Amino acid sequence: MRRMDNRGDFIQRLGLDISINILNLLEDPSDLVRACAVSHSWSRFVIENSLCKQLCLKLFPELSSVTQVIEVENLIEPVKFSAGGSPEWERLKRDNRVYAFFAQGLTPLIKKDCIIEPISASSTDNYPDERIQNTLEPEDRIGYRASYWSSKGESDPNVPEILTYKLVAQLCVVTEIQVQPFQAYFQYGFPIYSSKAVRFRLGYSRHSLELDDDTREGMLIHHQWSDDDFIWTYTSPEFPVAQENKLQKFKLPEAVLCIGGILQVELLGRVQKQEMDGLYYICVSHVQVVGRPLSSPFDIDMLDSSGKWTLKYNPETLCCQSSTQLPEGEVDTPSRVRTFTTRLLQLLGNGPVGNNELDQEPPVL
Amino acid sequence: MANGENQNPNPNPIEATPGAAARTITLKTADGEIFEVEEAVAMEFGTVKSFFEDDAVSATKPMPLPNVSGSALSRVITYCRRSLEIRSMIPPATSEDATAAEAVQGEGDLEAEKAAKQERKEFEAEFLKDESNEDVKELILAANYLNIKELLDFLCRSVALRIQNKSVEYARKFFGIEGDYTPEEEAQIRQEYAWAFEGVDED
Repeated sequence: MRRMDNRGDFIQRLGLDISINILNLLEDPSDLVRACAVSHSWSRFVIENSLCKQLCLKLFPELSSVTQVIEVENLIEPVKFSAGGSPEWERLKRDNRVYAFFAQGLTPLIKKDCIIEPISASSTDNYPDERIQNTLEPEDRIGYRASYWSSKGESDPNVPEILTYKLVAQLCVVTEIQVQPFQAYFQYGFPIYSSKAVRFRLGYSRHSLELDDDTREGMLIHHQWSDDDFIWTYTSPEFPVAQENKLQKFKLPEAVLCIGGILQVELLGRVQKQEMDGLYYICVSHVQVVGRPLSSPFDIDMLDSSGKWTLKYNPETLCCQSSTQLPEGEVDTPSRVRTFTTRLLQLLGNGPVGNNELDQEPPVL
Repeated sequence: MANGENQNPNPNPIEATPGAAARTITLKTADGEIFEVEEAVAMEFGTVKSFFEDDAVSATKPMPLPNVSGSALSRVITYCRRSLEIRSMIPPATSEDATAAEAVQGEGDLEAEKAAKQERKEFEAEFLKDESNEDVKELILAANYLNIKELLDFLCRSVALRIQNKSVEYARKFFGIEGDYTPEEEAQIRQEYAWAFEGVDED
């Protein structure tokens, strides 16, 4: 029996559809989080109806291809759950938390410059004039010189080249990668040193890339990685490259969640010989990554090399690396690091799927 | 409208369309108010529409609306009436194989559509301006009961706007809910999602 007075929980009186409609119209994930804080029943309502996930997909439609990754991680694994909870409920609760953080943490506008720095090139000609850093320069020239990277020459056109980059955030949704081959306007015939095709890999490094300056510089000039240096969570199809001096856009068939922030650009097959020495080269003037990075004060940290990551919120951090949990009640250290562990990555065929820690208190890393 | 049956003390008296022999439908609210509404307007109410479509129910017998108060119904009628007016500003769409002349007519339609949109925006902004949260809630319940989709959508949007960026306490008051978290539970939520509780509007 409906009552006409205004007492009683509005959501219950309105019924499911209208209540969902209203809460679905909220565009800020903070509003949904606060809705959860209103009461147990509201929290249950938000969680059961996956409202945070729906908001996430509304704000970032490209995430729809990525939710599989996130949800695979929230699989019902042997996990400790609170009394009275069912595995399905625990999964929904975890989804709620992950999507709330994502909705808040992902950059609202798509960024066109998601690479922060180069890591290595398989080879470089004329270092430092033709180094990999040039591919990140927005201009076509630096001073009097053209800005581009060049590989060393090879007589075999099938020798590939690999450029490795670090993305601006450890967690980034990548939608498109752009590459511009270089045209040598100072050579007869204006040759364009494109590759035949290009392929991209996204993933993370197994070992720390914090190295001394000399080693780092060495890698930027000439470095071959071994197979187990990286874990590649995504390998794109091969895209044909046109022999044109244009910024060519390679849209990934689906948006990809890059966890770990490493991009590799594989340049496959050489097409252009340099007249002077009769060797095949590959030259690139620009590389850009389009996507949505997880923005500060959110970040992720690799917990261990099995692919466990911690999603962190630290409002104090715009530069510091602190990830330890500070004791509560500490007045003079206002940093509020809040963490929760969600295994964002499943290593298919790379070992047993481990326990997912549903931490009740943040771990000390 | 001077009508012996109308005991409506409502400050917005219903006026019949001058000169037209408009069919009216009589509605009776929970608090006993009688409303005579033009048929076109009343048919905007899904509930009323199906009531009169069901069988040859006499249109002169007042239809009871036990879940709607007089004040709410009056506002609802105002909304639907205005909404109909705005919709009539848009001429019916031209057919696909329109001639050039009709295509120009089509452009005029686009203008009319834009004008109508603007009217609707202004009207909707005004409509709820002075309504309290309680009134808005009552309107939602009425619109829900009467099954008026357009009004309901509008009201839902308005509620979302009203509660966005507001504090948890505000939401509790608005919806008439007692918070039932323990202080520890509440503290934990606020810590874990600290970002969600920053920059909230003052109540």
